[in-house]
Amino acid sequence: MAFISTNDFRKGLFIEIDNEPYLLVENQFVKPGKGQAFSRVRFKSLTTGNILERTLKSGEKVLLADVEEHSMQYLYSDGESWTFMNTQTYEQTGLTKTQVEEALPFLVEETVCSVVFFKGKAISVTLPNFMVFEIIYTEPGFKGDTSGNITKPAQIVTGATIQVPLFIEAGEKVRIDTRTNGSYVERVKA
Amino acid sequence: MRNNFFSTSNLENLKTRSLLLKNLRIFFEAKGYLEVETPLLSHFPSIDLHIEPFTTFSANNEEFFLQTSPEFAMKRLLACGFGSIFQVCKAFRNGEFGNLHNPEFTIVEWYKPGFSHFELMAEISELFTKLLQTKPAKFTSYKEAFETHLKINPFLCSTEDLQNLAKQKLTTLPNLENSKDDWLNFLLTEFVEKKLGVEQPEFLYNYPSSQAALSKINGGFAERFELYVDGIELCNGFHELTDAKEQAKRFELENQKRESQGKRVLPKDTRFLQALEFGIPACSGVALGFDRLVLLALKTKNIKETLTFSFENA
Repeated sequence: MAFISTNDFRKGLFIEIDNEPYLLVENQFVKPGKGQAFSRVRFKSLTTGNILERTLKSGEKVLLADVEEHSMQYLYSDGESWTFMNTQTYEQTGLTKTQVEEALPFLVEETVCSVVFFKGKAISVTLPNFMVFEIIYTEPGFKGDTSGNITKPAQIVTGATIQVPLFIEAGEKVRIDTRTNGSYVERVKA
Repeated sequence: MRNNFFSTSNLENLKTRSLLLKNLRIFFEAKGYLEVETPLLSHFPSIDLHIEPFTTFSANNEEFFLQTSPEFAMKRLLACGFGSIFQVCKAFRNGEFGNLHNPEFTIVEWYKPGFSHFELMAEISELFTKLLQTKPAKFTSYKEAFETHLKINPFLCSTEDLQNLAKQKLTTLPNLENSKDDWLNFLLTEFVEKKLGVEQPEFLYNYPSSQAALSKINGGFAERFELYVDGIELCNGFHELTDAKEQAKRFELENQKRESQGKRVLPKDTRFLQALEFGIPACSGVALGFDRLVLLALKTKNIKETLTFSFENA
């Protein structure tokens, strides 16, 4: 059994509480005046979707869920279940909305993702760190903008909105980082 | 990643920050304070159970500490007879990183010889009416705050009473063992802080003597205060301890607590102790988290929006 300290907490960790898998969705560092520091954490149950709020003493440890990851391709969704296929065995597996929620802004068909299994059951999915998307819509930027803003919103095919530099135009492709809510990495030349 | 050069702030926020700093200096000049600068890098750190300094080594392999607060150096200046002083500087606290914390942050700290902590609080209230256009502050004792928001007397209750209260309110509790101060701090953080300073800035004062830090203890209370605005802690101040022997004892006690928790025992600032032995004037002093002040002025939720580059982006 492996444990992890609050000092190493980050979004996306899989935690086991009372034999059930949870996803760490929020971790806030709090410290009153000159006192002991705490981590105010939100865990999402990957079976019920319920949120569990806990305040832990800084440095306290929790049990890491013993998970396995398999490379699987996203096929389709009927709105209730999201179907993934193992690219080697062709075996298919369905995930619930609760389980795919965090990936939805950037999940597109045919993407090869990492599906996470706990005690033999699929519980979650992790996107590739970097993905390329075409910009569907963005306001034209202009040189010499003096507002101090160097980014603008842009819409991609999934409907998600990301921030891109002013010089990016609709129709261009950009590489984004899925771990940081789709932050812009670079322009991808066709 | 190629977009890593972006600022975590923006032009409008930085203009607000710059203006606040300017107005702050105008205020201190009008009140007769001298602006000073003391070393960020020092032979000695502050000694607190819950504050970890960054350390580094000089070319001849001597250990140095990045200051966690300019307190000791400024008190040495008080012993030199330099009178009312203020400083705007960087301070560093290892491991403190979150929505309201950046390990490198900006402190405004000032000392006023002859002032009680109540007189200093009145001056801080005036500063906030000028900087944030707030109403004058209200004053709530530590005891009143616990009685109002938790229906418990923090001085008369036992550690067990505090644990039981926490158990009634929460299904799982942090692993705090038997430290009464830790339980008080936990309950303060979870149930009291967010209700402080909502209508107007609110001072919490008369702390338990076990949480005196570097304040005088009088009639069983620590002459220490904190200021809250919109549930956020902004200032920590003291009617300053001026007794060298008592200070040395507190260093010793704090180091014992550190050792019992497996933390490093830190060297005692002998120059600061010499200054106290020589004598510093009776005074009050306070530290203000400048980044949090900017955060409140901007009504944002994350301190990184007040910083050109936050710690993860530095």
